[in-house]
Amino acid sequence: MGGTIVDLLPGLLESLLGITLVLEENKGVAFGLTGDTVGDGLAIHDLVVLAEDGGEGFGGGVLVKAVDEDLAVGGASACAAGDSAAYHRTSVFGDDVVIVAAYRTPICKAKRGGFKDTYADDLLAPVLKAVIEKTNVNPSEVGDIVVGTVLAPGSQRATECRMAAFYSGFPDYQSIEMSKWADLPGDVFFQIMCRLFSDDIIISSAVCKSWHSLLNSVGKLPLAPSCPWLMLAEENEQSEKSNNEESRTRGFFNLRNAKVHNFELPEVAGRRCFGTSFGWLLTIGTDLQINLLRPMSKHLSCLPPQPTFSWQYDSDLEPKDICRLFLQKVVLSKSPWNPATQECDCVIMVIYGEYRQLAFTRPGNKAWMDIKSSRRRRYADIAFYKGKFYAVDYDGALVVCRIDDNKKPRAKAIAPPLEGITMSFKWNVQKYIVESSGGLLLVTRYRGSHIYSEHNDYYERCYDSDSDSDADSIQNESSDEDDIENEDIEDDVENEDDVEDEDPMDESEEERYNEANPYVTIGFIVQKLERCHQGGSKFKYKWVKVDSLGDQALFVGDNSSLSLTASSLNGIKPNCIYFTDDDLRVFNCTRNGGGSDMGVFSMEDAKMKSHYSGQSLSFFCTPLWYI
Amino acid sequence: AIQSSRFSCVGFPLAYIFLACKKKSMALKLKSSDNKIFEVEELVAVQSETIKSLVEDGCANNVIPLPNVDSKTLELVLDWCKNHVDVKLDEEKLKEYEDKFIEVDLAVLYDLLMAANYLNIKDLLNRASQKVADMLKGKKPEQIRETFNIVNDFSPEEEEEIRKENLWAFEE
Repeated sequence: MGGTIVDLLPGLLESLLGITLVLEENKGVAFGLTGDTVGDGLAIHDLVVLAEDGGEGFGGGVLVKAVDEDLAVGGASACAAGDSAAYHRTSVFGDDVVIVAAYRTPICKAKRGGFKDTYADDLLAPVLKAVIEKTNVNPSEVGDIVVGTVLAPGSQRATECRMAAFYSGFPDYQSIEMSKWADLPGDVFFQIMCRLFSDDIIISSAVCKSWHSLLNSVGKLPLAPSCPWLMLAEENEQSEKSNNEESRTRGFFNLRNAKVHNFELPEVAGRRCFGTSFGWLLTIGTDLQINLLRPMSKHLSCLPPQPTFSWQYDSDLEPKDICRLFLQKVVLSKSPWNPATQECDCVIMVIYGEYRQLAFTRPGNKAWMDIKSSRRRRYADIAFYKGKFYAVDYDGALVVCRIDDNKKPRAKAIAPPLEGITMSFKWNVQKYIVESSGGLLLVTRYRGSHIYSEHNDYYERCYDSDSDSDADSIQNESSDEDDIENEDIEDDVENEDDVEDEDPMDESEEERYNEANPYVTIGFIVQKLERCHQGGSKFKYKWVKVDSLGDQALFVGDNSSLSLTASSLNGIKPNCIYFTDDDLRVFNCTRNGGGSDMGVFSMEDAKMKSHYSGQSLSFFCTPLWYI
Repeated sequence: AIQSSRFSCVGFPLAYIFLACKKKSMALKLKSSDNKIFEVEELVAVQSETIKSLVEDGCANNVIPLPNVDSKTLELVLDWCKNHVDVKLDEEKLKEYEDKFIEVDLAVLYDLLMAANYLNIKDLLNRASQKVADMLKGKKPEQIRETFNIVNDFSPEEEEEIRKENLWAFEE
């Protein structure tokens, strides 16, 4: 009786090792269990039951992954272990598959035999039971039961074998355990995925088919903010300026592991790009076509081209300059990709033109629509906050945009300009607004340099008027500035002399700035929008200075300004502002293009650090945050 | 006369529901999938948006059946809710509690995740998802499969293709 099973076992083992199980006369059932570690370092790997089905009989055996040598030898002694009966084992390894028990059901003649009226599950159950008894294995530690079937349709035999497993005392959650993480409901799965970086998400898609298809179904719709990448400038902009079509790859610097990944991206070659969050870029080229592009999936949505803006340059500007200068900021109302309709759908708000006006459009619209306000404002940044677009002008006045009804789109001021700034177009001051932990922040960036006609006195005055500790931080900050300067000198030593000759500005005025870097960001001030309770004020809100961002990190530059929770993004420091070089107006003062003025500003000690050690310069598309 | 009686018919249950909602710390009865009854204060239970909407709709007068949550999980979930009822609780302490609470084995974590999703308890769902996400972070596909006991059902060719598509994510 045992002989029959032993005859079949080598073939069975072959099947477990990936070789097809050869069954005599097409009759037989293979049956396996996998499970966790059991007692003394043994792990049940598979329970295999063989059936000579014509005789309505089953045989059984437990294959044990041996960890303990003694046990393995003992267990294996009677069995043919290995991938073939001819293969003689002399030593034992940790991952050996070993047979420790072999049982079978009674057998008889096929078709008209004594068991012709007995159910297969009734025959199988005692075998499983006996295997459990013999091996002393806890049934709840067996992870899965796999049933092979020959004669009956698969699903029917599976039911029989599952019933047999119940009869023999396996708990009812068996084998569901295996796949339940793989079969997570979509909404729960995305709850988890939205907490991961893009690379972890890609890795997860390679785990199993169901995760892959879940992620593929939305792969086209970007997931919630993953770790921001720094999209670098075009590598060969200088040497191949006449032939930009050549530069097909674009480098992305991953803050998390400080590595640069190169992607094939001919779509952005020679085009000015803006980061828009949600994993999308807005690009404008010398063809004056404006596109929304998702580089990772190559989704492309064409927006109304540049000539459809109502305001145009008076003079005949070269397309090259239009594409460089025309747009200044892009913000989307939401992720553009709608997986239900498989189309792009969102509101795109931009700041454009010489007077920095607001305009918006939607994918599929024919033209860009201006947003008028009661007085002319030059806008600095836009934020989509609580379902509405807000914009801040160069004075710090905040407006809310009304675009949702059929009336003319208008902007209405809700917070007054900042005190102390009367010049509406200070060159060394730049403003951003960003939603952060449910509030709206106004971030003012101060650059210092001899190319600016004005001093950065406002920034210093701000600190002077504050407490003593703040006065200290100025000291820190200015000494830190020297550090940055020194680094830059080392980097650009070869260029320095040339630059000095070419530099049109009078350098004696501000000697402490390095000529190779005609400008450098020296600090930030952050203010929060708060409801104004003062009577007499005609505005509902006002800006109040804040000293800390808490666990948030801000990302500003040629992207939609964004605030991310640092603790959920490994490699991002909290209470910091990550900035890139985005002031096109001053790039022409540089020799090799702008882009060097980027780094991390810590709100805690007002110190600057660099995040990208390499050099990535451009005259029209400097490094930007791709988020 | 007929109209007025009809009004009173409608009026009675409405008033009843109104009273029921107003009354503070009213006890709710929740029934788990294995038919165990849990009696909890309404303030605790309504942290579940699902139960809250049942209460608001006035369907919570009797026992609320929760066919998707077993008693073991429900007990844990209610413990979580009890500790989150007082929002003014010391933040440090709450964090300590949450960290300890979520240190469970995978099977329990899965049940908590599903229960939090079904009962719509935002902070628990967030915390459980975060825990799973942390377990996925920085791992290779093989390690994830091992951790979560997931069978690799890709053919070698399919797996190779996925790797090729996103080579950057897989390189060390």
